[in-house]
Amino acid sequence: MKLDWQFWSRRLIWLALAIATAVFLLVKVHARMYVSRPALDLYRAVEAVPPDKIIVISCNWEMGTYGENGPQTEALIRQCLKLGKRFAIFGWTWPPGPMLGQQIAERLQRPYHRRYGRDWVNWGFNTGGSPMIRGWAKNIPGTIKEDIFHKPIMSYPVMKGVNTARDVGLIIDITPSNTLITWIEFVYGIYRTPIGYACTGVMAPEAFPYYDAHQIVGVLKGLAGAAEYEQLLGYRGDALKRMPAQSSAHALIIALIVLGNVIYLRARRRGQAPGARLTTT
Amino acid sequence: MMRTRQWAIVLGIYIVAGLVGAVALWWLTHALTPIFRPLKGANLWAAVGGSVAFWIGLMALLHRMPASVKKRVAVVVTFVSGLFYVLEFYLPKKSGIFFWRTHHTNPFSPMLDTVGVATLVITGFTLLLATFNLCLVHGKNIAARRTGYYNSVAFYLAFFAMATFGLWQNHAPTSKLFASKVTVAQVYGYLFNSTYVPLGSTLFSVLAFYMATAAFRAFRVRTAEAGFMMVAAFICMMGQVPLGMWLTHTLPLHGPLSHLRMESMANWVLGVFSMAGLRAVTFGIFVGALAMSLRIWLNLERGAFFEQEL
Amino acid sequence: MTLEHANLLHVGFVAVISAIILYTILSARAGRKLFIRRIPGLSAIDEAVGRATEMGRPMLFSTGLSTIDIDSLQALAIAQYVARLAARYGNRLIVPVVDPVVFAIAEQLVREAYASEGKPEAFRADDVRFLSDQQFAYAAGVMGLINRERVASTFFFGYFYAESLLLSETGQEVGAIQIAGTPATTQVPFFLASCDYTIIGDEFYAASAYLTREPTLLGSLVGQDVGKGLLLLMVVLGTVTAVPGMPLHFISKWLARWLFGG
Repeated sequence: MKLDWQFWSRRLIWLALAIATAVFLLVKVHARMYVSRPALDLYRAVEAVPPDKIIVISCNWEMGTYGENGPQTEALIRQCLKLGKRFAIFGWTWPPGPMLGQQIAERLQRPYHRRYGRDWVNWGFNTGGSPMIRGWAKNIPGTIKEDIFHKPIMSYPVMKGVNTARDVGLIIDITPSNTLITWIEFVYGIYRTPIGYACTGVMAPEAFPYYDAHQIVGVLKGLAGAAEYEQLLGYRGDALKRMPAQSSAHALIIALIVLGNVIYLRARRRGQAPGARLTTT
Repeated sequence: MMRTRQWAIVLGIYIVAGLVGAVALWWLTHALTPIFRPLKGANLWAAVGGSVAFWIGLMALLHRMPASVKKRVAVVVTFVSGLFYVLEFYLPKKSGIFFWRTHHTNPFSPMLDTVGVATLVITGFTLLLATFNLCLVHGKNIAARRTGYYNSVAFYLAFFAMATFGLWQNHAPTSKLFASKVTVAQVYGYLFNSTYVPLGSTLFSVLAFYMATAAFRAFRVRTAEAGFMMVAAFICMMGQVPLGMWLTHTLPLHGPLSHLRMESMANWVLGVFSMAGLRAVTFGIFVGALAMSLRIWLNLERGAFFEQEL
Repeated sequence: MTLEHANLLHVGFVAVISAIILYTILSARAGRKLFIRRIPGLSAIDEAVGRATEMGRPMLFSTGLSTIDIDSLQALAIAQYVARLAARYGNRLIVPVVDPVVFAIAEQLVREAYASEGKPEAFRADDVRFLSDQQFAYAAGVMGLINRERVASTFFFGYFYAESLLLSETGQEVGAIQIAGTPATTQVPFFLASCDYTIIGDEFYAASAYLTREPTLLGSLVGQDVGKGLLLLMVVLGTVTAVPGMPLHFISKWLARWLFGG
């Protein structure tokens, strides 16, 4: 019986990847991360926010990227709760974002004895994109009238003295999307409010030109960035627990690339036409 | 090559159009300011009704116009709309050229938020169009009993369930479902947390598997450049994870040898090589975007729907 | 120095590049012949449409995840070119979209394309469809379409995010010939790995000029290249003069003051 190699090779690779990641999710392995400069800079930027200013945690993500943005949000909110920094959860790209941030913050606030309304608030999801952000920067209470529970945001003690982007000490954009340019154009560019960026791994390279130009204060690169942050905070959260599985997956992919090239070279030596392609313009 | 006279005519047309547009915009911002004050009660409903009637009348009138007039209206509206943002940004915040204003401030800046909101309102016109199309396509599948029509049935069930419970819990989250103890908020929470969230996460996680098969199939070191790319990929991949960091953990954390640590090399590749390349590509993309925006604004875009009869 | 309003440097820079682009556009319209190099990905569009027609299977064109902006407008311009070819050869083009505004324009475009080729009855309204405005719901819908319809050619033009690899790998599995073009630099590696032809960076914005050979668009392309040359000159000048002690170091300080207020 002749095997359909193309059909079965895919399934074997998927099975191998599933096993490689599952083993290290089930077996406890302690991972140690060396913290990179972009993550350390973001950590220090959060620490440096003065007490009279609020931190905006922009949860512009949805459940598809929970694996990366979830631990990032958790690490950042944990630091704010631990240090007693006022913060506001906000979203304007993906509707589920603020709700997911709310769930994380509600779960984390108890050990630090923080309370909604006194120490943090959730502005909910606001439509409008870039025009809304521009108006938000000029007049926060005028743009975001109610919180996620439909109560006026200025009725909460945490919102005392928060009127414009100048009253914001740091904005951290947690997102898999290309929202950073909006923050830089309409907030950093006009008010010089510090911006931090926590993104999925694939979006991280796009952030480095802005980080290098000091337009953003720090970057968390995907799950690895969240793990570095947990390392800095000194607790073993989901990101650090998942890093061994990610290591295993990366090692498997490298092994597959090497195997693919070995097969290709052998086929070339035998004079068979290589099937693979990597075509650019 | 164009002659000097032709150049002068073209430039003259653009300058005159710009000046006329600027004056028209200034008059509009001045004259229409009263209508942007917040309204309440009967005035609000009168304004809403009047706006709806005005726009229906305007659309009906435009519909009856010949195609050439419709195209000219589109060109003028595009030019004036773009001119607003150009003037607002490129004219200074305060200047003596705004001599008629109290503090010589830019007359277009106060209108920025209002124009932005107006843009959003216009995109709202198409809100139900897409939903209607979705329902129509799936309705036809069910009516004709096409292969896989049960997927269309599933679409309707999911659509109405989320829409119903989403709207219901927004207005009355504590109301009970029929005669049970289950609240509407609980049902919506179940639909959101137990179906919507896992479905999205599942599809994103499929990406990892596809990446593995793509890497096995496509990454072939056929040239020296591809070899360099593979080395850089290896360093970047291993430099982000504990396994890669462990490979070079014996090297010191400080000093010249620290630069050979896997995480240092990965950050260097990301922060220097990759950043430079991305910056270069971004420059090209933004210049291309500037050119395309300029063409659309000045009615120079050709091809596709820009030359169609309306 | 903030970016609330432009300063002289911004005005001057944009004015110079805009003037160059307008000059080259108007020169091209006056009859000046311009050269544009071959872009294999765009040349392969005709081949992809022909292959699909020979196989008797439909094609799929995805315009990406952006709302109506220059990326989606450019994608729609390419979509209309592909739709015209599809109409000419008597083939189906399925266009799933993610945005309601883009859907309205795409439907009209494809309908007009079939009508302009003299085959208005061949246009199927169901082939241009809105799937979802959610990223992965859209991706799942397109993956399902590719598998069910067994498309022979797929075209991915526009701004994509993480779903790029999902879509292109699915096309790979059904054996479709795939052409992709996106200004999203982070998704280019995924398209490169899965697609037969990939168009990178601002070649995406050159697509309409390349396909139509319209003098206006060709002129704009040449103007863009000159603009990029000016940017390169600024980068070299800034790099050289940024070194303290170099002659003309004051230029670097002046640029920094104007750009950053520092």
